[in-house]
Amino acid sequence: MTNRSESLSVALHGMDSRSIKTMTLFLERLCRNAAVVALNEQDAQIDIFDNDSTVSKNLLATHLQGVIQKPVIVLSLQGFEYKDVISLAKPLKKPDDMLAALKQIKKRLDKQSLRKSGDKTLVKPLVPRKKEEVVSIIEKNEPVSLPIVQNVTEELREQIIEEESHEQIIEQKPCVQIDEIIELESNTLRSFVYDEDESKKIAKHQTAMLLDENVFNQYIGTVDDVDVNDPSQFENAHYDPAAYYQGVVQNAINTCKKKNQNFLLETHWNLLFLKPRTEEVLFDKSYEELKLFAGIRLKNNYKKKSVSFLLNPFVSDTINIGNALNRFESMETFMWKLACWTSMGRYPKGIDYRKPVYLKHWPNFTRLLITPHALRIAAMLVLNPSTMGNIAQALKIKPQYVFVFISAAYAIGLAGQGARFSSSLVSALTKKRSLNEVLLLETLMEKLHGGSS
Amino acid sequence: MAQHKIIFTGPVGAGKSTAIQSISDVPVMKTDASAKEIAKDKGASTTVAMDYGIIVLDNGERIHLYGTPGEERFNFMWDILLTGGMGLILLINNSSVDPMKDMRFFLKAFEKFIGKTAIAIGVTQMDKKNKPTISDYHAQFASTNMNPPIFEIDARVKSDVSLLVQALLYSLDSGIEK
Ligand SMILES: Nc1nc2c(ncn2[C@@H]2O[C@H](COP(=O)(O)OP(=O)(O)OP(=O)(O)O)[C@@H](O)[C@H]2O)c(=O)[nH]1
Ligand SMILES: [Mg+2]
Repeated sequence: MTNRSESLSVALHGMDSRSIKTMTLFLERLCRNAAVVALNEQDAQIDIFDNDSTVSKNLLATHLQGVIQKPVIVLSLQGFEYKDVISLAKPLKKPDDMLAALKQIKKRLDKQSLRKSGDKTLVKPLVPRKKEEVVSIIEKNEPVSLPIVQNVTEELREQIIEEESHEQIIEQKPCVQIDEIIELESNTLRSFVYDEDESKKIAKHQTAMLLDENVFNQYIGTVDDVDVNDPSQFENAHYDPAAYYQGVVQNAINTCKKKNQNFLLETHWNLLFLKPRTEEVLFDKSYEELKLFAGIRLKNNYKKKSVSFLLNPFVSDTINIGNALNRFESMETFMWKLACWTSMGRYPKGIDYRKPVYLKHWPNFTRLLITPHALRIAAMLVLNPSTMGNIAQALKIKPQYVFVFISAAYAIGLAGQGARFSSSLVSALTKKRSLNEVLLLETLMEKLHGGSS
Repeated sequence: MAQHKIIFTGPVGAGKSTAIQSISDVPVMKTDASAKEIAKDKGASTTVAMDYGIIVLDNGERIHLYGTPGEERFNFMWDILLTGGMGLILLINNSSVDPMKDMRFFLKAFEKFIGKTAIAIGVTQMDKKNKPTISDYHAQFASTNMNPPIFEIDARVKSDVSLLVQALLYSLDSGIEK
């Protein structure tokens, strides 16, 4: 096995999680760690693109138009000729080609580090080409969906076969159509500024995102027709998920899971690509836009424009979307976030604020948007069901933080009400501790909180 | 004042050394041996004695982080490490042969300690193998009276490890205000 410290590091571009997994295992097992997948794209020494997925094609096109800083490997079915780019035929069957390519690159990199020129670029910078030229080379290959690696290891093969066996051709006709009235004019949505940097930051956020109270209003938003924090207004502090995009997405997820096939949910403004087998989705616009769209009430409006949602089966595993920044993310992560932005501090219709709510188990917080006090609420609720008001009181926090948490947990099926548990009045779980112990825990928590955001 | 300790445990290669390294404020003391000397196929190195790291708080106090050695022949050290511990972080490598069995083994081995304190479970290497899922792990607790935090983590990512430790502390005391 190659010593890990000698391994080259690679970044994988435009691949879905299954391809990434396969490539990771391929490099680790068959190429014996000659290269490892970098945690951070910027840290990688080599960029690897798959030229047969449409998402990746776009990324590659953009990449080749810039100044190339690092060696590029392109995986392609039909070969890919481009100056200084190493092309490997897909599917990768044996590690030989990859190993040879890595060896060649390593030599080049070693030479360069010897030369130690002031020039930071790792390969001779290519003269950036015209867009049309790049695109025409890339477009030679029609998007196809094929595993990147073939027959790698038993384990890998099983995994791939299991997933591929579900593939089937299906008629492409709309199976659900929802016409609803929308409150806003269509161009209101179109005119939102698309902040590339912001969306890049969030789209790449694989790990949890922590919100504190200060940014809650700005990031989650609030409603102004009801004061959700006033117990006398709790009665009206709810929202109906079905009346929002959240409900439409929920239906789409249910449908695609039931039929076990890829679906595309379309509106005039955005696309949501759903892959039930890997439980992933891809949203084609920025989260800023998702957030705004989430807040629009679709039902019960008699005004102007109508929004129609089209939900269609989609045969391919990849999709052509314009925005290279988007990534696949888990359905759970997406639904959780969408529910937060729809809730805006309200609780979902279907939850009775007078009755206790249960939490089946801790949410997988490392992959979710963490609203203020979410960990404390979870810690308390997994022990005992409790009403939302009661939790807010016990933890001495604003009810809106409990409502938004319950909305998200409810959306992914973690929270609910019913005979599941007996009701009981709870207080925060506090063992008898010495003042010293309490202070210690608090200081430690403060430190960790600061360190993880 | 008594030592404040958090103990990291789990099977060989679960990510204990890496996790402690990710969140420690001081360079981690390791007593690793090359895997060749011990077992084949267990990663580049394995910890033969223990890992040790420190979180230094703003008020100067220290939280000591101890990682148990993965090798079974060092299990005698567990009791010593546990004394005075605040809680247990259990890391499970999802890409191992039978991660559920690994989990059951460690839950059993640390049963008494967990009963007195708290536990949080981090499932690593899910980027390599995504089954079993986090729900599958939770299902293992369905018939017990435990309902611990179980997070997908990458031991190399500080914020992942930090969240897991926070969940452990809140499980001890959800009344902590911060
Ligand atoms: N891909 C991936 N690698 C990980 C993850 N977590 C840890 N690792 C790697 O897994 C390897 C083993 O981690 P260690 O921290 O040495 O494991 P350990 O539990 O200390 O192992 P022993 O000391 O042998 O008991 C290291 O190379 C880590 O970088 C993860 O989530 N994904
Ligand atoms: Mg170790």
